[in-house]
Amino acid sequence: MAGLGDCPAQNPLPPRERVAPKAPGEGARKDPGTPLTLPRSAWAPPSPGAGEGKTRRLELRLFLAQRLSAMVLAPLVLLHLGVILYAVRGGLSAAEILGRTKGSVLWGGLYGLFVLATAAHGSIGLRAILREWTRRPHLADTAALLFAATALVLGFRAVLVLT
Amino acid sequence: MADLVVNVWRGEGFETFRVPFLESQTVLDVVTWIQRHLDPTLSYRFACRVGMCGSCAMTVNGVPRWTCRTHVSKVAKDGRLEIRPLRNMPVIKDLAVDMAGFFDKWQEAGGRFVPTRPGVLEFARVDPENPERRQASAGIECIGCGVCYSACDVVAANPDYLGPAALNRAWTLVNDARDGDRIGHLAAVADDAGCHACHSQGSCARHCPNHLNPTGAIAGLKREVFRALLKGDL
Repeated sequence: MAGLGDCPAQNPLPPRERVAPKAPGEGARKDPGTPLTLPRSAWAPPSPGAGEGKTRRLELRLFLAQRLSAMVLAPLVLLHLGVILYAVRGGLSAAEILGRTKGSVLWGGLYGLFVLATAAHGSIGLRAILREWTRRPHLADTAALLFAATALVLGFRAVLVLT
Repeated sequence: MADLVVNVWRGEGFETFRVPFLESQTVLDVVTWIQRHLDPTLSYRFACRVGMCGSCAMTVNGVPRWTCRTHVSKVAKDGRLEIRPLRNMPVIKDLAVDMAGFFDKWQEAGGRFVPTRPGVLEFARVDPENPERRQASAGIECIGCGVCYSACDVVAANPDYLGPAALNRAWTLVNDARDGDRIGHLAAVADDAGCHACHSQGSCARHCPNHLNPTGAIAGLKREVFRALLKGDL
C-alpha cells in the first residue's frame, strides 16, 4: 500500500519540487531579532488604577521596597524575639543589657537596619491600606510619611540610647 | 418528596416558586422549569448545559456556582433554594448580568497572546511537563464563567480591580514560551488595580468550578513582577 506521501493517481498537480532545507541565514526571511510587540496603549484602554510615568514608577519602586524590607525584617524579627527571650529567661538586668550593647557596632548596626526596614515596610503597608480604605491617595501619602518619620525618630533614638 | 421552594431574584425582590423535586436535577433545570412552566418572563443565561461555556453562573444559596453542574440535592437547604444573579456585575434583568466589564478587564490585563518575531519559521518546542507550561496549561482551562469574580471581596471593594479571571489569563501568557511580550504582560498587571491589589483571601480558588487556582496565579504574578523589578526589566 502506498504511503501517504506518494499518491500520484489522486493528485492532478505536477509533483512539486522538494525544496532542500536551507542553511540558517541563506535565503530565509531576515530575522529582525526583536519581538513584534505593540505598545500596550495600542490595544488596551489604560488600566483605571494604573498611574502613568512617574507615578507608576514610584508605585513599582514602593512595591520593590516593601518586598525587600520584608526579606530583611523576617530574620531580624526572629533575632529580636530571640534576644527578648534570652534576656528575660536569663534574668539580665538593664545594666547588664546596656553593658553588652553599649559601643557594639554589631548590635547598633543590626537594630539600625531593623529600624530602617520597619519604617519602610510599615509606612508602605499603611499607605496601601489607607489608599484602599479611604480612596484618598494624598491622605495616604501624608500619613505614611508621618508614620515613617515617627518610626525613624523613635527607632534611632532607642538605638542611640542602647549603643 | 415535597416540592422545592425556590426564591428567585426578580430585580425588586424575590419571587417564590414551587418546583417539583426530581432526581439528579440541577439548579439550571430548576430555573428552566420555572421559565417554561410558571413564568416565561424570567430572564437568565445558559448555553451548553455541560459546564463548558461559562454562561449559566448564578448565586445559589449565597454561593456563586455554575448552575448546570450543580445538583439541587447538594445545595438545597431544607428543600429551599435562593437564586440570585452573580455579584460584582451589573444586573441586566433577573438572573442575567452584564459581563462586558468583566471581559474588558481581560483586555486591560493584557490577556492577549503577542506573537514573537515574524521571521521565526520553526515550531516552538514546548515540553508539556516543564513547570511554566504546567502553570499555563492549568490556567487555560478557565471557562470565563465569572464565578471567581463574583466571589472576590476585593472586586466588591474596588471596582477597578482586574479580578481573578483576568489575572489568571495574564499568568497563562506570562508562562507561555511562545508569547513575545512577557514583560509587557507583567507591566499590564503590576499596579494597584492589578495583582498587587489581591489580598490572597482565596475565594476565587475556593469557588472556581474547574478547580483552578487564580490566587496562586496572582501570587505568581507578584513574584515575577518582583523578579522583573530586581532585574530592571520593569
